[in-house]
Amino acid sequence: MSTYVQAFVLTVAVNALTAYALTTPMFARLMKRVGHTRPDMHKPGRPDVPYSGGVPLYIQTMAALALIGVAYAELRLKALLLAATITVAFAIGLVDDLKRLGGLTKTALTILIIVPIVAAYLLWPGDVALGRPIVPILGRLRLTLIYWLLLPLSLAGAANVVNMLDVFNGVMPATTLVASATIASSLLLVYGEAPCILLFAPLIGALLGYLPYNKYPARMLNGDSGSLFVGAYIGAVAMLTRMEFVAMITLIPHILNGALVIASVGGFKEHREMRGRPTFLTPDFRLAATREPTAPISLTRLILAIEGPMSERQVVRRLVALEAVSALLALVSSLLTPAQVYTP
Amino acid sequence: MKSVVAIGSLITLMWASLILVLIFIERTLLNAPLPSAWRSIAGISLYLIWALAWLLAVLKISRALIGRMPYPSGREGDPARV
Repeated sequence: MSTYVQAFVLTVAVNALTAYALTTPMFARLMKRVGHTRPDMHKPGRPDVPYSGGVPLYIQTMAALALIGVAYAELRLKALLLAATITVAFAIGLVDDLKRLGGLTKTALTILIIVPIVAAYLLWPGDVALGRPIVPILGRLRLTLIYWLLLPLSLAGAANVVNMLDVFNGVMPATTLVASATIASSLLLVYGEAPCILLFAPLIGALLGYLPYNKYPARMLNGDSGSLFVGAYIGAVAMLTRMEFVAMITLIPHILNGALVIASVGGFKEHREMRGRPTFLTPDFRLAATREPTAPISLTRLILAIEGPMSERQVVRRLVALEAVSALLALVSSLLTPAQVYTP
Repeated sequence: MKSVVAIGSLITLMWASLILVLIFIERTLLNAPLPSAWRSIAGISLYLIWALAWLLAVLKISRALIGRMPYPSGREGDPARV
C-alpha cells in the first residue's frame, strides 16, 4: 500500500472512531440537555431527537483537515480552501437550523459558498486550477464556457441537492459516504498515486463515525448544518481535483430529486411553503405516495408510486441502492478516462 | 426493488446519452467550420436541450406513474416530508 493510501486509511479510521465514540454522542447529549431537538415525523409518537448533527460532523472534519494541512505541505492550500468553503456552507446551514430561512433566501445564500475558491483562483492562479474538467474518453473538456457559466451555481447546487434528499434517517450520511468513496476511488483510478485522495479522508471518516447515530432509528438528526456542508465538501473537492464530471454522475439521484421537486413546484420553496404533500403516513406508519397533482414530485414519491406503501427503512434502502447505481456509473466513467497527471 | 431497477435504468440511460452528447460536441461540433463563438453557443445549447429533454421526460413519466398508481391511497394520516 502506498504512503498516501496508508495515510488515507489511517485518517479515516481515527476520524471515524473519534466521531463515533466522542464527538457525536457528546454533542447529542448536549443538544438534548439544552432542548435543541426536533420531532422525528415518521415515527410513532414523534419522539424528539437532538438536532444539528452537522456540528459534530463539521468539528470532526475540520480537525482532520487541519491535521492534513499541517502534515502535507502540498495539500496545505487546498485544505485551507476546503475549510473556508465548508465553513461558509456550515454557517448558512446552522443559521437555518436556528432561525429557519426561506427557501429562496437559503438558496441565494448558498451561492456564496463558491467565494473562497474563486478568490483563491484569482489571487493564486498558479496554485488553484479551475476549468477544463476531466471527462471520460476525451480526457479534458474543451467547451469550458459552460463551466464558467455554471460555476456560481456549482457548489450551491451540490449543497442544496444533498440537502433536498436529506429526508429520512440515514439517507444523507449513507448516500454521501458512497459518493465520497466513489470520487476518492476515481481519484486513484485517474491520477494513480496522488496526495489529493487525502482530501476526502476527513469527510469519509466523519460520516462513518456519524452514520450509526443518524441511521434508523435516528439518535441524531442532521439539520441543514450537516447536509449543506457535506454537499459543499463533495463539490469543492471535485472542483479542486477536476473531478466535476464524476461527482455529477455520482450525485445523479440527488440532482434528479432536486430537479424534479423544483420543476414540479415551480421554484425554490421550503417544505413549509409547498402546497400539498408528496407522501403521507398510513395508520401503521408506512409511507405512501399521495395522488395530489399540486404536490411536489420527488424521488421518494416516485419510489412509492412504483412499489406501493413501505416503511422508512425500505425507502432508505432503495435510495442508497440508487446511489450505488450512480456510483457504479461514476466508476465506469473513471475507468473510461485517460490517465491524468496530478498537479498540486 | 422494482423502483431501483426502473429508476436505475433511467439513470443509466441518462449517463449513456450524456457521454454520447459530450463526444459529439467535443469531437464534431467544436471542429465544425464555424466561428468560435457560434460553436460555443451551439455546444451549450445542446447541453441545455439534453438537460431539459430529460427533465421533461422524467416529469411526464413520474406524473403518469403517480396517476396510475395501483395502490390505494388509504386514509390520509400525518403529512410526511418530501
